[in-house]
Amino acid sequence: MLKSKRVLAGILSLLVAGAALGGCQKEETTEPQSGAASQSGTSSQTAGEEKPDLKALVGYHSGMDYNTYPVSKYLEEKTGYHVTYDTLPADKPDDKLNAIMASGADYDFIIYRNKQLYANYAQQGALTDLEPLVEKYGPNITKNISKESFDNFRIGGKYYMIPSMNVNLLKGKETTGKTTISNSVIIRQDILEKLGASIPKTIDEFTALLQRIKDEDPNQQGAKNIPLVAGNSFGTDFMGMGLGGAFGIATSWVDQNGKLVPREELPGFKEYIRYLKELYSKGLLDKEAPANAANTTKEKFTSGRAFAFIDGWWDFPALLDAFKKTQPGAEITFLPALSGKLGKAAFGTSSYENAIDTFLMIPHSSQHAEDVIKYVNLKLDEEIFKGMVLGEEGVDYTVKDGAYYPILPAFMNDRGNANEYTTGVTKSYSIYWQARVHKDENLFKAFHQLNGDYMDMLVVDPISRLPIEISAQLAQEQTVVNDLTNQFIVQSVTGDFSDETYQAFLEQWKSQGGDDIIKKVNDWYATAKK
Amino acid sequence: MENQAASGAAAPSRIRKTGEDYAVDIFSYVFMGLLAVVTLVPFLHVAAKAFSAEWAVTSGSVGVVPVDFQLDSMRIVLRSKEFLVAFGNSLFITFVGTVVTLVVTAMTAYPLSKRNLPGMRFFLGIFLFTMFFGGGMIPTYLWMQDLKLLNTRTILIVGGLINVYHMLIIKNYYEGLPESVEESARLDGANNFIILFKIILPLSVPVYASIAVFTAVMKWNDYFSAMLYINSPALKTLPLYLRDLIAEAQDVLSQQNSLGEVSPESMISAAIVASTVPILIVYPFMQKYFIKGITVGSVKG
Repeated sequence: MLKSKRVLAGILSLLVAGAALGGCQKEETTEPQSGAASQSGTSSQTAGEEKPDLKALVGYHSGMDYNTYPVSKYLEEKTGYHVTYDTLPADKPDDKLNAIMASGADYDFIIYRNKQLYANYAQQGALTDLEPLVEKYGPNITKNISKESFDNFRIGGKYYMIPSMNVNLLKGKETTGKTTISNSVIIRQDILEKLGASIPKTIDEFTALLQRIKDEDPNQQGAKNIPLVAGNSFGTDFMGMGLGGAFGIATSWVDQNGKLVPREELPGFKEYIRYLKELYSKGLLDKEAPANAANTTKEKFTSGRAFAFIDGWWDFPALLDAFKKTQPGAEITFLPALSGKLGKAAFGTSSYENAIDTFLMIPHSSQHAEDVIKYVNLKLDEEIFKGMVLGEEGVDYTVKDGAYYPILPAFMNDRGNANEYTTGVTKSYSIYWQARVHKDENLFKAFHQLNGDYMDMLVVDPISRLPIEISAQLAQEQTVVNDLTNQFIVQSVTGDFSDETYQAFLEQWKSQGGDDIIKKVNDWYATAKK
Repeated sequence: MENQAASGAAAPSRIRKTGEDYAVDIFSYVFMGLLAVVTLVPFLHVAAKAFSAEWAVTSGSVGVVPVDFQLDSMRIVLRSKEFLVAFGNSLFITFVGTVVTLVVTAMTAYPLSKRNLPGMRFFLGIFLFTMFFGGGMIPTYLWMQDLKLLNTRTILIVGGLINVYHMLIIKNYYEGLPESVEESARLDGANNFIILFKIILPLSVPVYASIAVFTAVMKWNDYFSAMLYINSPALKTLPLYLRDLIAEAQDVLSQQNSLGEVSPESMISAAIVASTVPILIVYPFMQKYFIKGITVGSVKG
């Protein structure tokens, strides 16, 4: 019996030791190097050259393991580089990234979204200067990413990131140099037709329509009837997403006689608040708007209570799916941006050159910066890139009249998440990207309504062309004043609003950073290309 | 008086309840009942969403009962590789972590319970000190990095290995054991190890069970350590996995390029329900230890 206790103790200590040892081993598997294979004349590697394993850190995306996804295998085959991916959490990824960078990031490259952090790291010297590497090893990179894009992200004259541009808005087959419109007001088209009304084009028509919904209650909701539902960021949301144009405040800054003026100073700002206040007091805007979370607004719309709300085109399939059961026969459509006495219809969006989806940066501690750039360069080879985002012709996609269509479900299984792997895109990406939208015809119709029918209403926000060095300086103040604006709008709509409260707000806005921002922005604007 | 006579004749030992007693009873039941309902309803709501069709969940039609019952969400979750990896990691860490923690804590508490040993007060003081003062998150992180423990399973087992509070509970329990048993064992020639394993250990099973339950639940639910130290998808634990699912569904920015393809609400709810199953299974058996747990070491003799 004594012996068994000794044995037990022995086993337990072995267990502890085993756990410690097992945990200490690295998780990497060593795969046979495939550097010797050269691919259709695009590889600049000499045969037999060893390619190091690369360690990457990327943002979280559910439902996929970056390491085993088909795109990862495809890239390894074509480029010869084996990459292991670690992910940041979906919750507070900025903080985690800061912790990793501060403790000497053990990664060869990082793909991320937050430009502010990029600026911070660059200024602290935590990133590798990429220009000399790109010039030497990245001919595909310079071919596909414009000088303006790189210039926008120079810190102290150097740039430290490879940007992946957001989708360029297409007009036919030509790119427009503008990003796409993502949101507008969605209404129940079937109810509109039931009322015998037509699509409103001006803000007054819109209000009248909402009033009819309230008075006539065509969907028989009784006390639950909500003409227009919105979430707790309704004040700022509506401005850029369709209603702001009518008051001349669709963009956050407006050029007046060669100077940039923030929307908070424009007379349209007050009028806009008065308008929202009118909607709110007449019961046309959901009384619970300040408290609605994103899910809540969707629920109110899909349950049939609400006639209109703001959402993105990518949600159409989900909404229509819900409607099949809750409101059979329901149809939805986007409203155009609305025009008004103070301005014409406009959707405010970012300039293309500054609208990046993600970017790649190389921490200073990486030993393989050269190889990372070579890797990125290979990924931007026309054939390899096309295969990465589209897959194999005949298996994943087909081509018809120069447009690309996905073969489902193969396309979504093989390349549905290909966009997560892009580190820089080729000029033809905007065309390839359309295949993704074609995965569902309702999705395509919704996208096309905003970015085809209404594309002329797109207005580029001048501030979106601000180079990162300046916007990084202003970031903190910008957050403060944006919060002030949001708060003020919500308070004014639900409570008191007068010229006095507006003046008080404006003074506070200016003193808490607004003045500084106006000055710096205009200093830049005076010398910027118009 | 008549009552007394009647009760005296019929049931001499029964205490007659006054109206006041009944009032308190009713109040207690109602209050506790309400509390139970308030606690239970959110959970039932999530469980209902897990088994409802997606359209019902999106439109907010689900209450505490599933609408348009379906098992698809649960099926997808239980087959999802990510979920299984996270579940496996959590199981491993909870099981191994609890065993290791229990062994180490129990053994640490033993010498500390021997007040007459020279210097024990000093060591006890050090342990107590750590209850109030810690190194802080960043020094700990950097230290773990130096030890090359980042992004490993070991750190989730070893980090916070000895919970001093639990150790004190065990120590108090040891102190409550009769000294005579130990003394007679010593007279028979037993050394310390024999005393610990043959006498103390069997007697301490109740407190060990309690601490095991506490530790297991803590390790199963530990989100913060995993979030801080783990980057590799293969090492993710369940709380981290769940939080990522939920956070991503709320992040509108990423939805444009992924075409709104985030996990549907019903799948998130199914993942949550699947994650609570182990604890739900274990809890009824361990319930009595939970209740006794905190007080088990406090009464001597």
